[in-house]
Amino acid sequence: MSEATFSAEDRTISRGFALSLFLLVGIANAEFLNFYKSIETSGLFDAFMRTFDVSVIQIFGLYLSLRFLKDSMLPPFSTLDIVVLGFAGLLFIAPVSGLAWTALTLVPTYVLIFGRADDYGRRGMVLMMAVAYTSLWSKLIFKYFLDYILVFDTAIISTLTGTSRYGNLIFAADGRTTLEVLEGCSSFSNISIAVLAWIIARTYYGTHGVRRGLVFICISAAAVVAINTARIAVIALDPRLYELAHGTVGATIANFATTIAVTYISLVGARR
Amino acid sequence: MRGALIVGLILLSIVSLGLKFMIERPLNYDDLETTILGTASKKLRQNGFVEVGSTNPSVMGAVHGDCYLWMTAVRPQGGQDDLFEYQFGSGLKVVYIFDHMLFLERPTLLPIAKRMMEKLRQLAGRHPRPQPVFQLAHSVGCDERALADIIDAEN
Repeated sequence: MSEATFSAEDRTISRGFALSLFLLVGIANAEFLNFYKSIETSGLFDAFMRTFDVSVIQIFGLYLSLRFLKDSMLPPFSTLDIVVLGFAGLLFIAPVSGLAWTALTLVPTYVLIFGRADDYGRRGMVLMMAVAYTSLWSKLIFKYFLDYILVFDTAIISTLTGTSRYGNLIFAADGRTTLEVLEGCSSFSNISIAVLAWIIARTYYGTHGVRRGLVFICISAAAVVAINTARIAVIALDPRLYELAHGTVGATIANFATTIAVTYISLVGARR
Repeated sequence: MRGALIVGLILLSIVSLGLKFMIERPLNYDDLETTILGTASKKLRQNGFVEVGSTNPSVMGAVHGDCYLWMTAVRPQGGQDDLFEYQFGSGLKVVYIFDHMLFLERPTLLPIAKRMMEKLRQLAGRHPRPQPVFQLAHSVGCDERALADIIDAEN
Protein backbone atom coordinates (compact mmCIF):
# COMPACT_ATOMS: atom_id res chain seq x y z
CA MET A 1 0.00 0.00 0.00
CA SER A 2 1.46 3.34 -0.92
CA GLU A 3 1.65 5.95 1.78
CA ALA A 4 -0.91 8.13 0.07
CA THR A 5 -3.63 5.53 -0.23
CA PHE A 6 -6.62 5.17 2.01
CA SER A 7 -6.86 1.41 1.66
CA ALA A 8 -5.13 -1.55 0.15
CA GLU A 9 -6.23 -4.00 -2.54
CA ASP A 10 -6.92 -3.16 -6.14
CA ARG A 11 -9.47 -0.40 -5.68
CA THR A 12 -7.84 2.31 -3.63
CA ILE A 13 -8.64 5.90 -2.84
CA SER A 14 -6.12 8.45 -1.64
CA ARG A 15 -6.49 9.99 1.79
CA GLY A 16 -6.37 13.41 0.17
CA PHE A 17 -9.31 12.49 -2.04
CA ALA A 18 -11.21 11.03 0.92
CA LEU A 19 -10.63 14.21 2.92
CA SER A 20 -11.71 16.42 0.00
CA LEU A 21 -14.97 14.42 -0.31
CA PHE A 22 -15.56 14.82 3.44
CA LEU A 23 -15.01 18.58 3.23
CA LEU A 24 -17.29 18.74 0.18
CA VAL A 25 -20.10 17.42 2.39
CA GLY A 26 -19.18 20.18 4.86
CA ILE A 27 -19.33 22.84 2.15
CA ALA A 28 -22.80 21.65 1.07
CA ASN A 29 -23.93 22.01 4.69
CA ALA A 30 -22.22 25.37 5.18
CA GLU A 31 -23.82 26.84 2.07
CA PHE A 32 -27.26 25.35 2.80
CA LEU A 33 -28.76 28.54 4.27
CA ASN A 34 -27.43 30.71 1.42
CA PHE A 35 -28.96 28.35 -1.13
CA TYR A 36 -32.24 28.14 0.80
CA LYS A 37 -32.57 31.93 1.16
CA SER A 38 -31.58 32.52 -2.46
CA ILE A 39 -34.09 30.00 -3.86
CA GLU A 40 -36.84 31.19 -1.50
CA THR A 41 -36.30 34.81 -2.53
CA SER A 42 -35.67 34.48 -6.28
CA GLY A 43 -36.80 31.03 -7.40
CA LEU A 44 -34.51 28.23 -8.54
CA PHE A 45 -33.59 29.61 -11.97
CA ASP A 46 -32.82 33.18 -10.84
CA ALA A 47 -30.97 31.84 -7.79
CA PHE A 48 -28.86 29.64 -10.05
CA MET A 49 -28.12 32.60 -12.35
CA ARG A 50 -27.03 34.58 -9.28
CA THR A 51 -24.84 31.66 -8.16
CA PHE A 52 -27.10 31.36 -5.10
CA ASP A 53 -25.79 34.71 -3.80
CA VAL A 54 -22.37 33.18 -3.26
CA SER A 55 -19.47 35.08 -4.84
CA VAL A 56 -17.88 33.31 -7.82
CA ILE A 57 -14.53 34.05 -6.19
CA GLN A 58 -15.61 32.05 -3.13
CA ILE A 59 -16.87 29.22 -5.34
CA PHE A 60 -13.57 29.17 -7.23
CA GLY A 61 -11.66 29.22 -3.93
CA LEU A 62 -13.59 26.17 -2.70
CA TYR A 63 -13.07 24.36 -5.99
CA LEU A 64 -9.34 25.03 -5.95
CA SER A 65 -9.07 24.03 -2.30
CA LEU A 66 -10.70 20.65 -3.00
CA ARG A 67 -8.49 20.13 -6.06
CA PHE A 68 -5.32 20.75 -4.09
CA LEU A 69 -6.53 18.42 -1.35
CA LYS A 70 -7.47 15.71 -3.83
CA ASP A 71 -3.90 15.71 -5.18
CA SER A 72 -2.23 15.94 -1.79
CA MET A 73 -0.26 13.17 -0.11
CA LEU A 74 -1.47 12.86 3.47
CA PRO A 75 0.10 10.67 6.17
CA PRO A 76 -2.02 7.83 7.63
CA PHE A 77 -4.82 9.13 9.83
CA SER A 78 -3.93 9.15 13.52
CA THR A 79 -6.41 8.74 16.37
CA LEU A 80 -6.39 12.50 16.92
CA ASP A 81 -7.09 13.05 13.20
CA ILE A 82 -10.13 10.76 13.47
CA VAL A 83 -11.35 12.58 16.60
CA VAL A 84 -11.03 15.99 14.90
CA LEU A 85 -12.77 14.78 11.73
CA GLY A 86 -15.48 13.11 13.83
CA PHE A 87 -16.11 16.36 15.70
CA ALA A 88 -16.22 18.22 12.38
CA GLY A 89 -18.75 15.63 11.14
CA LEU A 90 -20.95 16.36 14.18
CA LEU A 91 -20.79 20.08 13.41
CA PHE A 92 -21.84 19.31 9.81
CA ILE A 93 -24.85 17.36 11.09
CA ALA A 94 -26.04 20.14 13.46
CA PRO A 95 -28.81 22.06 11.66
CA VAL A 96 -27.01 25.42 11.83
CA SER A 97 -25.02 26.29 8.70
CA GLY A 98 -22.66 28.53 10.68
CA LEU A 99 -21.44 25.49 12.63
CA ALA A 100 -20.45 23.80 9.37
CA TRP A 101 -18.33 26.88 8.56
CA THR A 102 -16.84 26.57 12.05
CA ALA A 103 -15.89 22.98 11.23
CA LEU A 104 -14.41 24.11 7.92
CA THR A 105 -12.23 26.50 9.92
CA LEU A 106 -11.36 23.93 12.57
CA VAL A 107 -10.11 21.18 10.22
CA PRO A 108 -7.68 23.40 8.24
CA THR A 109 -6.44 25.01 11.48
CA TYR A 110 -5.72 21.56 12.92
CA VAL A 111 -4.04 20.29 9.75
CA LEU A 112 -1.88 23.42 9.41
CA ILE A 113 -0.88 23.57 13.09
CA PHE A 114 -0.02 19.88 13.37
CA GLY A 115 1.63 19.76 9.94
CA ARG A 116 -0.58 16.93 8.72
CA ALA A 117 -0.21 17.70 5.00
CA ASP A 118 2.23 18.13 2.15
CA ASP A 119 2.51 21.34 0.11
CA TYR A 120 -0.67 20.66 -1.90
CA GLY A 121 -2.55 19.78 1.25
CA ARG A 122 -1.40 22.97 2.95
CA ARG A 123 -2.45 25.07 -0.03
CA GLY A 124 -5.87 23.41 -0.04
CA MET A 125 -6.31 24.00 3.68
CA VAL A 126 -5.21 27.65 3.48
CA LEU A 127 -7.81 28.23 0.77
CA MET A 128 -10.53 26.43 2.75
CA MET A 129 -9.72 28.56 5.79
CA ALA A 130 -9.75 31.76 3.71
CA VAL A 131 -13.18 30.96 2.25
CA ALA A 132 -14.54 30.08 5.71
CA TYR A 133 -13.16 33.40 6.98
CA THR A 134 -14.92 35.42 4.25
CA SER A 135 -18.14 33.41 4.57
CA LEU A 136 -18.55 33.50 8.35
CA TRP A 137 -15.94 35.26 10.46
CA SER A 138 -15.51 38.44 8.40
CA LYS A 139 -19.30 38.86 8.37
CA LEU A 140 -19.43 38.63 12.15
CA ILE A 141 -16.63 41.18 12.49
CA PHE A 142 -18.35 43.40 9.92
CA LYS A 143 -21.63 43.23 11.87
CA TYR A 144 -19.92 44.23 15.11
CA PHE A 145 -18.31 47.31 13.58
CA LEU A 146 -21.20 48.07 11.22
CA ASP A 147 -22.10 51.43 12.80
CA TYR A 148 -18.62 52.85 12.26
CA ILE A 149 -18.29 51.30 8.80
CA LEU A 150 -21.58 52.77 7.57
CA VAL A 151 -20.72 56.22 8.90
CA PHE A 152 -17.32 56.00 7.17
CA ASP A 153 -18.99 54.88 3.92
CA THR A 154 -21.42 57.79 4.18
CA ALA A 155 -18.62 60.26 4.86
CA ILE A 156 -16.74 59.17 1.72
CA ILE A 157 -19.82 59.47 -0.49
CA SER A 158 -20.96 62.81 0.93
CA THR A 159 -17.43 64.25 0.64
CA LEU A 160 -17.10 63.13 -2.98
CA THR A 161 -20.54 64.39 -3.98
CA GLY A 162 -20.56 67.53 -1.85
CA THR A 163 -23.82 66.50 -0.17
CA SER A 164 -24.56 66.77 3.53
CA ARG A 165 -24.99 63.81 5.88
CA TYR A 166 -26.24 62.70 9.29
CA GLY A 167 -24.93 59.40 10.66
CA ASN A 168 -25.47 56.92 7.84
CA LEU A 169 -27.94 59.22 6.05
CA ILE A 170 -27.06 61.19 2.93
CA PHE A 171 -29.19 64.16 1.90
CA ALA A 172 -29.23 63.88 -1.88
CA ALA A 173 -28.42 66.75 -4.21
CA ASP A 174 -32.10 67.28 -5.14
CA GLY A 175 -32.73 68.55 -1.59
CA ARG A 176 -35.76 66.26 -1.12
CA THR A 177 -34.35 62.72 -0.97
CA THR A 178 -32.65 61.06 1.97
CA LEU A 179 -30.52 57.98 1.34
CA GLU A 180 -29.88 55.46 4.10
CA VAL A 181 -26.62 53.57 3.63
CA LEU A 182 -27.23 50.03 4.89
CA GLU A 183 -25.25 46.80 5.15
CA GLY A 184 -25.84 45.75 1.54
CA CYS A 185 -24.79 49.17 0.18
CA SER A 186 -21.57 49.29 2.15
CA SER A 187 -18.37 49.39 0.13
CA PHE A 188 -16.52 47.65 2.91
CA SER A 189 -18.65 44.49 2.92
CA ASN A 190 -16.76 43.21 -0.13
CA ILE A 191 -13.25 43.94 1.05
CA SER A 192 -12.93 40.39 2.40
CA ILE A 193 -13.49 39.22 -1.20
CA ALA A 194 -10.45 41.27 -2.24
CA VAL A 195 -8.40 39.51 0.45
CA LEU A 196 -9.73 36.12 -0.64
CA ALA A 197 -8.94 36.80 -4.30
CA TRP A 198 -5.35 37.60 -3.34
CA ILE A 199 -5.00 34.46 -1.22
CA ILE A 200 -6.35 32.34 -4.10
CA ALA A 201 -3.95 33.91 -6.63
CA ARG A 202 -1.03 33.72 -4.21
CA THR A 203 -1.75 30.08 -3.34
CA TYR A 204 -2.17 29.11 -6.97
CA TYR A 205 1.06 30.73 -8.15
CA GLY A 206 2.99 30.07 -4.96
CA THR A 207 3.83 33.77 -4.61
CA HIS A 208 5.71 34.95 -1.51
CA GLY A 209 6.18 38.29 0.19
CA VAL A 210 3.98 39.86 2.84
CA ARG A 211 4.63 43.45 1.70
CA ARG A 212 3.69 42.67 -1.86
CA GLY A 213 0.55 40.93 -0.65
CA LEU A 214 -0.46 43.93 1.44
CA VAL A 215 0.13 46.30 -1.48
CA PHE A 216 -2.05 44.31 -3.88
CA ILE A 217 -4.76 43.68 -1.28
CA CYS A 218 -4.88 47.46 -0.67
CA ILE A 219 -5.15 48.13 -4.41
CA SER A 220 -7.95 45.54 -4.72
CA ALA A 221 -9.76 46.94 -1.68
CA ALA A 222 -9.48 50.47 -3.09
CA ALA A 223 -11.02 49.24 -6.36
CA VAL A 224 -13.89 47.58 -4.46
CA VAL A 225 -14.58 50.76 -2.49
CA ALA A 226 -14.29 52.96 -5.61
CA ILE A 227 -16.79 50.88 -7.62
CA ASN A 228 -19.42 50.80 -4.89
CA THR A 229 -18.89 54.41 -3.87
CA ALA A 230 -19.36 55.48 -7.50
CA ARG A 231 -22.64 53.54 -7.62
CA ILE A 232 -24.06 55.16 -4.48
CA ALA A 233 -22.64 58.57 -5.43
CA VAL A 234 -24.62 58.45 -8.69
CA ILE A 235 -27.82 58.06 -6.64
CA ALA A 236 -26.81 60.84 -4.25
CA LEU A 237 -26.28 63.19 -7.18
CA ASP A 238 -29.46 62.19 -9.02
CA PRO A 239 -31.98 60.15 -6.97
CA ARG A 240 -34.05 59.53 -10.12
CA LEU A 241 -31.36 56.96 -11.02
CA TYR A 242 -32.06 54.99 -7.84
CA GLU A 243 -33.85 52.08 -9.54
CA LEU A 244 -31.18 51.81 -12.23
CA ALA A 245 -28.13 52.11 -9.97
CA HIS A 246 -29.49 50.29 -6.91
CA GLY A 247 -31.73 47.71 -8.62
CA THR A 248 -30.80 44.49 -10.40
CA VAL A 249 -28.99 46.25 -13.27
CA GLY A 250 -26.79 48.41 -11.03
CA ALA A 251 -26.10 45.60 -8.56
CA THR A 252 -25.18 43.17 -11.35
CA ILE A 253 -22.86 45.66 -13.04
CA ALA A 254 -21.22 46.56 -9.70
CA ASN A 255 -20.77 42.88 -8.73
CA PHE A 256 -19.36 42.02 -12.14
CA ALA A 257 -16.99 45.00 -12.12
CA THR A 258 -15.87 44.15 -8.57
CA THR A 259 -15.20 40.51 -9.45
CA ILE A 260 -13.26 41.45 -12.59
CA ALA A 261 -11.25 44.14 -10.78
CA VAL A 262 -10.18 42.06 -7.79
CA THR A 263 -9.45 39.03 -9.98
CA TYR A 264 -7.35 41.06 -12.42
CA ILE A 265 -5.42 42.94 -9.72
CA SER A 266 -4.75 39.74 -7.74
CA LEU A 267 -3.62 37.82 -10.84
CA VAL A 268 -1.32 40.64 -11.95
CA GLY A 269 0.13 40.89 -8.44
CA ALA A 270 0.65 37.15 -7.97
CA ARG A 271 2.09 36.46 -11.44
CA ARG A 272 4.71 39.20 -11.50
CA MET B 1 -12.93 0.22 2.43
CA ARG B 2 -13.65 2.53 -0.50
CA GLY B 3 -17.26 1.32 -0.51
CA ALA B 4 -17.58 1.95 3.24
CA LEU B 5 -16.17 5.45 2.83
CA ILE B 6 -18.58 6.31 0.02
CA VAL B 7 -21.58 4.88 1.88
CA GLY B 8 -20.50 6.78 5.02
CA LEU B 9 -20.21 10.07 3.16
CA ILE B 10 -23.58 9.56 1.44
CA LEU B 11 -25.18 8.82 4.82
CA LEU B 12 -23.52 11.88 6.37
CA SER B 13 -24.84 14.02 3.49
CA ILE B 14 -28.37 12.67 3.79
CA VAL B 15 -28.53 13.08 7.57
CA SER B 16 -26.90 16.52 7.74
CA LEU B 17 -28.68 18.10 4.77
CA GLY B 18 -31.95 16.37 5.69
CA LEU B 19 -31.82 17.81 9.22
CA LYS B 20 -31.05 21.28 7.87
CA PHE B 21 -33.88 21.03 5.36
CA MET B 22 -36.31 20.05 8.11
CA ILE B 23 -35.17 22.44 10.83
CA GLU B 24 -32.97 25.31 9.70
CA ARG B 25 -34.71 28.44 8.49
CA PRO B 26 -33.40 32.00 8.12
CA LEU B 27 -33.90 34.00 11.32
CA ASN B 28 -35.02 37.28 9.84
CA TYR B 29 -36.54 39.85 12.16
CA ASP B 30 -37.48 42.07 9.21
CA ASP B 31 -40.12 39.48 8.24
CA LEU B 32 -41.47 39.54 11.78
CA GLU B 33 -41.60 43.34 12.04
CA THR B 34 -45.42 43.58 11.88
CA THR B 35 -45.85 40.86 14.51
CA ILE B 36 -43.17 42.37 16.77
CA LEU B 37 -44.60 45.89 16.67
CA GLY B 38 -48.16 44.51 16.90
CA THR B 39 -47.37 42.65 20.12
CA ALA B 40 -45.56 45.63 21.65
CA SER B 41 -48.43 47.91 20.65
CA LYS B 42 -50.94 45.53 22.29
CA LYS B 43 -48.95 45.65 25.53
CA LEU B 44 -48.90 49.45 25.49
CA ARG B 45 -52.67 49.56 24.90
CA GLN B 46 -53.18 47.17 27.81
CA ASN B 47 -51.33 49.71 29.95
CA GLY B 48 -53.52 52.67 29.01
CA PHE B 49 -51.67 53.98 25.94
CA VAL B 50 -53.56 55.12 22.86
CA GLU B 51 -51.96 54.37 19.51
CA VAL B 52 -51.38 57.30 17.13
CA GLY B 53 -50.82 57.17 13.37
CA SER B 54 -47.34 57.21 11.90
CA THR B 55 -46.08 58.22 8.47
CA ASN B 56 -43.72 55.26 8.56
CA PRO B 57 -45.32 51.77 8.76
CA SER B 58 -42.23 50.48 10.60
CA VAL B 59 -42.76 53.01 13.39
CA MET B 60 -45.62 53.10 15.88
CA GLY B 61 -46.65 56.01 18.02
CA ALA B 62 -48.47 55.96 21.36
CA VAL B 63 -49.62 58.49 23.93
CA HIS B 64 -50.68 58.23 27.57
CA GLY B 65 -51.19 61.44 29.55
CA ASP B 66 -48.08 63.61 29.14
CA CYS B 67 -46.03 60.67 27.85
CA TYR B 68 -45.83 60.23 24.12
CA LEU B 69 -43.47 58.03 22.21
CA TRP B 70 -42.40 56.68 18.84
CA MET B 71 -41.06 53.17 18.66
CA THR B 72 -39.49 50.84 16.11
CA ALA B 73 -37.59 47.55 16.07
CA VAL B 74 -33.99 47.93 14.89
CA ARG B 75 -31.26 45.50 13.91
CA PRO B 76 -28.79 44.83 16.72
CA GLN B 77 -25.87 45.38 14.36
CA GLY B 78 -27.11 48.89 13.55
CA GLY B 79 -27.78 50.80 10.37
CA GLN B 80 -31.37 51.84 11.05
CA ASP B 81 -31.02 54.06 14.12
CA ASP B 82 -30.01 57.30 12.45
CA LEU B 83 -33.04 57.48 10.18
CA PHE B 84 -35.42 56.93 13.11
CA GLU B 85 -33.58 59.47 15.23
CA TYR B 86 -33.61 62.00 12.39
CA GLN B 87 -37.31 61.51 11.60
CA PHE B 88 -38.77 61.05 15.07
CA GLY B 89 -36.15 61.99 17.65
CA SER B 90 -36.26 65.77 17.42
CA GLY B 91 -36.83 67.23 20.91
CA LEU B 92 -37.30 63.75 22.40
CA LYS B 93 -35.02 61.43 24.32
CA VAL B 94 -33.88 58.38 22.36
CA VAL B 95 -33.33 55.11 24.26
CA TYR B 96 -33.18 51.40 23.50
CA ILE B 97 -35.01 48.51 25.12
CA PHE B 98 -33.85 44.93 24.86
CA ASP B 99 -35.10 42.01 26.91
CA HIS B 100 -36.80 44.37 29.43
CA MET B 101 -33.55 46.29 29.91
CA LEU B 102 -33.01 49.96 29.16
CA PHE B 103 -29.97 51.22 27.22
CA LEU B 104 -28.82 54.70 26.26
CA GLU B 105 -26.70 53.24 23.42
CA ARG B 106 -27.92 50.41 21.19
CA PRO B 107 -26.73 47.14 22.71
CA THR B 108 -24.77 45.09 20.19
CA LEU B 109 -23.09 42.08 21.75
CA LEU B 110 -25.98 40.97 23.97
CA PRO B 111 -28.61 40.79 21.18
CA ILE B 112 -26.17 39.07 18.82
CA ALA B 113 -25.34 36.52 21.54
CA LYS B 114 -29.05 36.00 22.23
CA ARG B 115 -29.68 35.63 18.52
CA MET B 116 -27.05 32.90 18.37
CA MET B 117 -28.78 31.20 21.31
CA GLU B 118 -32.03 31.35 19.35
CA LYS B 119 -30.28 29.67 16.44
CA LEU B 120 -29.16 26.94 18.82
CA ARG B 121 -32.77 26.52 20.01
CA GLN B 122 -33.46 25.46 16.45
CA LEU B 123 -31.16 22.50 17.07
CA ALA B 124 -33.86 21.09 19.30
CA GLY B 125 -36.46 21.82 16.64
CA ARG B 126 -37.93 24.66 18.74
CA HIS B 127 -39.17 27.85 17.15
CA PRO B 128 -36.86 30.79 17.78
CA ARG B 129 -38.41 33.60 19.84
CA PRO B 130 -37.96 37.03 18.30
CA GLN B 131 -36.06 39.30 20.67
CA PRO B 132 -35.66 42.57 18.81
CA VAL B 133 -33.97 45.74 19.99
CA PHE B 134 -36.59 48.47 20.34
CA GLN B 135 -35.58 52.05 19.67
CA LEU B 136 -37.75 54.61 21.42
CA ALA B 137 -38.04 58.36 21.15
CA HIS B 138 -40.07 59.59 24.10
CA SER B 139 -41.13 62.78 25.82
CA VAL B 140 -39.91 63.78 29.29
CA GLY B 141 -43.24 62.69 30.76
CA CYS B 142 -42.49 59.00 30.20
CA ASP B 143 -41.20 56.60 32.83
CA GLU B 144 -38.48 54.78 30.87
CA ARG B 145 -38.14 51.92 33.33
CA ALA B 146 -41.88 51.29 33.27
CA LEU B 147 -41.76 51.28 29.45
CA ALA B 148 -38.92 48.74 29.51
CA ASP B 149 -41.07 46.49 31.69
CA ILE B 150 -44.07 46.84 29.41
CA ILE B 151 -42.49 46.52 25.99
CA ASP B 152 -41.55 43.09 24.81
CA ALA B 153 -42.14 41.09 21.68
CA GLU B 154 -43.39 38.04 23.54
CA ASN B 155 -47.09 37.46 24.07
